[in-house]
Amino acid sequence: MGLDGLTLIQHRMLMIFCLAVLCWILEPIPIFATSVLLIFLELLLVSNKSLIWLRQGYEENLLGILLPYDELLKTFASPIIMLFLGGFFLAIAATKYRLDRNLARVLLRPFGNDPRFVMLGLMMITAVFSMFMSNTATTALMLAILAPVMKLFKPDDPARFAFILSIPLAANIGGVGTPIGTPPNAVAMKYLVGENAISFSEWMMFGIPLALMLLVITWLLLIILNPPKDKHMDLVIEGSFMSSWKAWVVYLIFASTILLWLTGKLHGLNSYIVAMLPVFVFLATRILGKDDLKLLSWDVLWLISGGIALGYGLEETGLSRVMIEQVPFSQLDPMLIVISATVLALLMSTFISNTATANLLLPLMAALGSSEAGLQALGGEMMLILVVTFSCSFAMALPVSTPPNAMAFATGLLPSSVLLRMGALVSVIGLACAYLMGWILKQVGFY
Amino acid sequence: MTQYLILTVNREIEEREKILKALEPFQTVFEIFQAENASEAEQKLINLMENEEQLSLIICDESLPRTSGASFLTKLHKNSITRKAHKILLMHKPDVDVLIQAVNHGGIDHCLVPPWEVGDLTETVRQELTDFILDHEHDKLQFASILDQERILGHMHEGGLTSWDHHS
Repeated sequence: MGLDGLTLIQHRMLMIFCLAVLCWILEPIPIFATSVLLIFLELLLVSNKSLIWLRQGYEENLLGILLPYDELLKTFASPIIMLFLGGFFLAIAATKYRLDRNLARVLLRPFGNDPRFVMLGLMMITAVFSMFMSNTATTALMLAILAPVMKLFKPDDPARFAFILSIPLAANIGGVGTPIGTPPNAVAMKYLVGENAISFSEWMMFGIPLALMLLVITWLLLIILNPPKDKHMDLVIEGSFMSSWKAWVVYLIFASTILLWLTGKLHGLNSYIVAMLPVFVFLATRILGKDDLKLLSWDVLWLISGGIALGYGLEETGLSRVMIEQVPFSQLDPMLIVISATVLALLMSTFISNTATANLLLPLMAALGSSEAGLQALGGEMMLILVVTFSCSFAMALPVSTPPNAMAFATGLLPSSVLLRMGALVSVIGLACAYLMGWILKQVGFY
Repeated sequence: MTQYLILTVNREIEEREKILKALEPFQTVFEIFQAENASEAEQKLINLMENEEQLSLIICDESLPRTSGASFLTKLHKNSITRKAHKILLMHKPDVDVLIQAVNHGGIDHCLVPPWEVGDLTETVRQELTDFILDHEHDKLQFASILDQERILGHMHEGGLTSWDHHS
């Protein structure tokens, strides 16, 4: 019974994968609960400590490979999860000691009073912050900063919409800048291992130029399509830097963590180990206490864990390879494969969670990239994983596409038609920028 | 989802209309009930729990038939169900004795003395409702479009995000 050529384990894994697709798309339970469910089902059905009737008394070649249960449980604390944890600690401490708000105040000053450049400044700051903090937290901060000046706009000034829109777009775009910028990057890092491994600073070497390129194009589109009527704009952010010793520790640890991430080659500590620095120091100095630990977004961490466990199961059981082999990809133009994969990722993440999209697609992309010889000419597995990951972040046409979009939409100042038009435009341009970056990286011999 | 109620108690029809005008920006999200006297207001409050409603704000006039605004607010403040609601007292003239009773026993949050404009009340209500929502509501974002946006977004930024159930 069943599908030809598939082992029993692969059958069960296929069922788990189909369940993942359904649950992440239809959301009968919260998406992070789906992640936990997937890990639980893998432990129950395909692990070496699964239910005894499911693994004893079968011929070995009929049953297939059982997954070690401890590897599945370890996904809850995989290095990439720890990297995110470190990022969360930085963000919570920066918010608690108002470092983010004060940095925004100082960084915005050089952009002057011309509304067009104020917008560029806001977008730059939003993008840079969202490389290290969650895109959503950054959006909340920047929209709060923007809220008082929104009242000063004349109701017929098209720049009103442009300003509100510029924040979520910049936050979405900024996410591609670093491995911890947005959860899909974390999922991608899990597949960039061995000879494809990418360090924190290597990611930033293409992530930042890509984000910057799309950011500037988006800004130009916003000010050309919605030219501000006023020539002068005062955006006053109140506040001053805190100067208690705890605040100084936060500034110091924030700067040194980022510096250590950037200089991995010099000191030998990889980014996962560096991420433990803020965790330890902030807890030891009581800068963050028990109550702050409760602010950690465990849902985001577990959402990633589930994706890692799903990918692990698909790969180790050999199912992802079997699935890819079912489609005669070798007869297709490699360029067409890349375009269909990225468009699929963009469409999926327009409607469902970006992370869930990455969780579902990236294991298949990893198998496809490594098995498909034709893709080598374009950059192979690494290129495919990267452009698909970028596509997950660049979907921003609807309020539901990303949390920053939903938040800007909830202010009631942004008509959905404006979001749809501009968001779709930026999505498509983002896709083009992702291709361009994929091509450039091939030209400079990165892959 | 909990339906939030704004209750006003006032016997003057012109005053009621003025208050209703001040509450206009909030009527899309909040239910507004206008009572003419204390017993009518209490009647409304009896069914609150059953209808899964919560009293978020009460705007009460100082002089009510058979009782005073301060006494009525004191009564509500002693009841655990209505204690959380923010309370605005509309006074006719500054009266320290009434004010002391209202503050000490009625738990009032704001007091308006004539002359006040519709816009004054609207802004007062906006701030009181924002306080209430920040303290008691899980999903604060849905109120960002009508209440104090800067404060709601700022609050979400400072750690309120964890309770925001939206996919990343």
